[in-house]
Amino acid sequence: MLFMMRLLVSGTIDNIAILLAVTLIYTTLRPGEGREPKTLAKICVGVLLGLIGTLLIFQGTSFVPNPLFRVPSVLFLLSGLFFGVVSTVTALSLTSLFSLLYQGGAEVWTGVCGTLVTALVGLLWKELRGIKRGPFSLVELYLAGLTAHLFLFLSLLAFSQEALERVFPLLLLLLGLFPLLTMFLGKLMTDRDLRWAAESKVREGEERFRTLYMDASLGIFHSSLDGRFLDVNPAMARMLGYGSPEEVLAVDLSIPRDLYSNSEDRDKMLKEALEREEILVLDHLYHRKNRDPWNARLHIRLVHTPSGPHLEGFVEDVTEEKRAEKELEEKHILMETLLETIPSPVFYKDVERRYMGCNRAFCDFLGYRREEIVGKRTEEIFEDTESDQFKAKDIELLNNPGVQVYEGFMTNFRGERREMLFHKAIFADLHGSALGMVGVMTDITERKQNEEALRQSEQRFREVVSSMPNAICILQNGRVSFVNPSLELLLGYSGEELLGRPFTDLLQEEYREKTLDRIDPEKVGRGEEAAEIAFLCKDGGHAFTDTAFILISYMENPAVLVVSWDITVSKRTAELLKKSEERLRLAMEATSDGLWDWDLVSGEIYWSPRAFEMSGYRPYEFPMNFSVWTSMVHPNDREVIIPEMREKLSRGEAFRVDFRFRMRDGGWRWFMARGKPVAWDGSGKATRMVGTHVDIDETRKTEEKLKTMLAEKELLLKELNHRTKNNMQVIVSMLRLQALQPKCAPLAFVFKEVENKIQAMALVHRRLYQSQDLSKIDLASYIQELTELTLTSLAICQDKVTLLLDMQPVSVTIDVAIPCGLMINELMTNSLKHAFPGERRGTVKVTLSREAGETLALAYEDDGIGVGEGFDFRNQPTLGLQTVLILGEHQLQGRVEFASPPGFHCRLVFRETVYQARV
Amino acid sequence: MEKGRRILCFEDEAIIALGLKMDLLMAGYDVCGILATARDALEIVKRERPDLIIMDIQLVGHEDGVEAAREILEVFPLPIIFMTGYPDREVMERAERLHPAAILLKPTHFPALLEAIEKVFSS
Repeated sequence: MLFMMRLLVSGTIDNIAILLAVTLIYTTLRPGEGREPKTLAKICVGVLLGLIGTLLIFQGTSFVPNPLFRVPSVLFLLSGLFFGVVSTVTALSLTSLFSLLYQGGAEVWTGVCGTLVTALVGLLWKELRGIKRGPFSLVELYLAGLTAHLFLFLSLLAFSQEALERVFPLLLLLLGLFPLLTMFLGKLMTDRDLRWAAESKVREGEERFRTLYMDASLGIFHSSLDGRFLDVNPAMARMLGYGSPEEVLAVDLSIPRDLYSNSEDRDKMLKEALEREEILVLDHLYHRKNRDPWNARLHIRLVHTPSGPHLEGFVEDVTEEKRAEKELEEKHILMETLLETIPSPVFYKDVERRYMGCNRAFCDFLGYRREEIVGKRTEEIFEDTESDQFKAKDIELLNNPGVQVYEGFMTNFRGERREMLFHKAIFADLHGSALGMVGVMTDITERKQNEEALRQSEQRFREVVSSMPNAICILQNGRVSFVNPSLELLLGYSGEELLGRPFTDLLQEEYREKTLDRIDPEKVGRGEEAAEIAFLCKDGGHAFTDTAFILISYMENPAVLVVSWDITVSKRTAELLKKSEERLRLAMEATSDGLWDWDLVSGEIYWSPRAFEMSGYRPYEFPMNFSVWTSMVHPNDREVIIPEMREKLSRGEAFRVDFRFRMRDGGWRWFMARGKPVAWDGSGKATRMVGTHVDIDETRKTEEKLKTMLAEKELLLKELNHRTKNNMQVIVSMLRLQALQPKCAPLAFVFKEVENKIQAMALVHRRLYQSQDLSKIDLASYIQELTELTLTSLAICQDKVTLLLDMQPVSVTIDVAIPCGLMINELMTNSLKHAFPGERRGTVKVTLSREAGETLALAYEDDGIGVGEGFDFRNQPTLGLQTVLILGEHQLQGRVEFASPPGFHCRLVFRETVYQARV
Repeated sequence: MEKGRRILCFEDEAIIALGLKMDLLMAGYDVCGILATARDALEIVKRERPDLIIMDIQLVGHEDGVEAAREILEVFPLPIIFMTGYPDREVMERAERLHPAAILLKPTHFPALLEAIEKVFSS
């Protein structure tokens, strides 16, 4: 047992020694200072470990034939825990190689396996614990050891049962010892690690500090109380105006003299530093090497060192800062002033919605002093309704940082509810965190009112324009920007279809060019004359209009107002009218009558050119009116026609009057005027008449002539009728008288005589019928024919009685002709019966001549036997001579003279006009 | 038939006048004259003192027989018989206004005339 114990101890000591050696190697050769060792280094370490391991195996074999002792278990466990994968694997490989090569027996595998197991445990343990847990603790190391050796034991069990028997008694010891070994060795290594880490940290720290010191932009110094620099860093040196710290120390600087512009400052500072044992922060004005002033912020402290008290601290060149501060200060003042000057109320609040400040305008608006506002929230200042709104808006803004613009109401100090425009924004610090909000208010009450008024005015304008019958549109830049319903109706397009379209598109081709100028705001005039323009309608038709273009201001810009009157209908009407007028004019020209148009209200009369010409004037030679016309009417006729015209006019009826009218040459001609009323007033009186002026002079004369002729004819017919009746009577009487004659003559002769008498009368009628003048015949030719006929009828041979006629042509009426004829007949018959008895021949002579004083002389003579002495011509019992007498003296109211012998003479003298000619 | 009645005739147509005279004479009347015109009619009436006037309305020179008759009747209210060739209404009216004994149309139917004369003289 003792032997065993000795072996155990020596073995343990050997192992410990080797392991210590390992530890020493580790502590000596541990490469790097916190840095990851190179792979090559790791391999070298591994090799070394491998060698040591091999050594251990050798050692184990020597004193105890125990597989367990052959296992450099602790070594490989520690390797796994501290050296990493590469080294461990290398060592493992090496050791295993050795075992395989130089050892024999089944224990090789157990050996290899064992080393493997412990190494694995070690690696795994390290891996699984992570890096962050820091160095291994004692307990941990112990547990690691325990775990590794437990696994080792278990693996041994797997491989070799007999070995186990030998080991078993020592088991507990081993399980306790090796872990302990692991623990202690591990601790050693851990501590070493720690120390290395600490040292490394210290070095790092030192290094960092060094860097800081050297590279700092702050000037760091040490100085003596009396004002000399003991040490400065490069920054300090630069601040002082020197190239390097060495330079500074080389120069004999006196801080109060060379640095301070006012050395009293330093004295004060020293005093304070001595009194207080803490860092003073002071701003001093220094001078550089080149005497440039600069502002230094001093962080200075008095320290006690072994070599005595001195000052240390750091300095900031705050020149820029100061300048910036000054600038800021100035800016601040500017802002303040600006704020106060701004007439709009301006305020700013913090994120708690408390007023942090405001400008004067804000105070004035609310009627509060600044003190009353600052620190309060809106709900403490404003009415509920208003403050609720503000609160809501504030919160909204805070939630959505940025700019907020809205309109709202606010009651001012006068109690007036003003409409305000709020412009608010969040202001943030450099990191974007909201510090608060600012707000500017603009009183837009008036603006709003103006806007409303404008809107209403606009509305009214629209209403007016929309209701106007004229088609209206407004053009901006030549394009339609507004239309009224009438235009839509005119063109057949809806408003939307028209908006934005170029105006010229809406026009008929030929009008586009012309209107270009008129739709240009710069060229169109104000209130120019309307021009005729045709639009294109949606349905393809045309709309004729009179259109005016007017420059206006629309929406504060120059625009063109287009106003159109639809003349399509009136244009057609005008064309028809033109045609009608032309027709009328042509008719007027063609007619030979004068036309007139009389305005009864003004008295003016339009006379057509023909009317003027008819009276001998030039067309439109003078203006015609009623009084002028009346003056040209014959005075006599005036009295007749004017009353008639007036009467007709008052009843609004047509009239027709005939009158004599004075011609240009002063003469009179008969005219007829016909008038027809075409317009009346309320009382039925005519206010306008149109009519004709016709020259009826010829007509009238003709009429008169005709009238006269007609009357004549009538009379003539009456006459003839009378004559005929009379003649019948005469014939009857003649027959009766004949009946009273002595009845000794033969009947035939009697009839012959009667026949002749009738013949005389009939002849007159025949001649009358044949003559042109129906009331007169030529007495001479009548008597001639009569005498010839008488001769013929009484069968007197030509050579028995010769007829001598000496007659002047005399035109007489039937009243004269018949008596003459009857007389001649009687006388001739007498002569033929009694004047040429037997064979006696003779002549009968008739003379007719005109005497003075319208008297006619009709003489009859024969150269027959004549009558006896004492023949009483006037009182013959026979009717023959009585007839002659009564015819000449009674009927013709003339004088009859007889004379005989020689022959037989009878002479009648009578007045031609005994019967007045009817015509 | 009373004889000795004097009749004055106004007739311008000679033959008719002659015939009339004859007829009247044969009828037993006294023809105190046949005048062709109304000239001096009053004188003649005053001188001759007829009992009846037979007046042809159309006389020589187309004098108005009615007018002449009227003038005579104003002075001498005598019975009058008118004779006319054509019954002009106006003339007839004027003639009727003088209340003649008769107005006869020409051509005269002598018996009718006689009858009218007898009627005058018998009343």
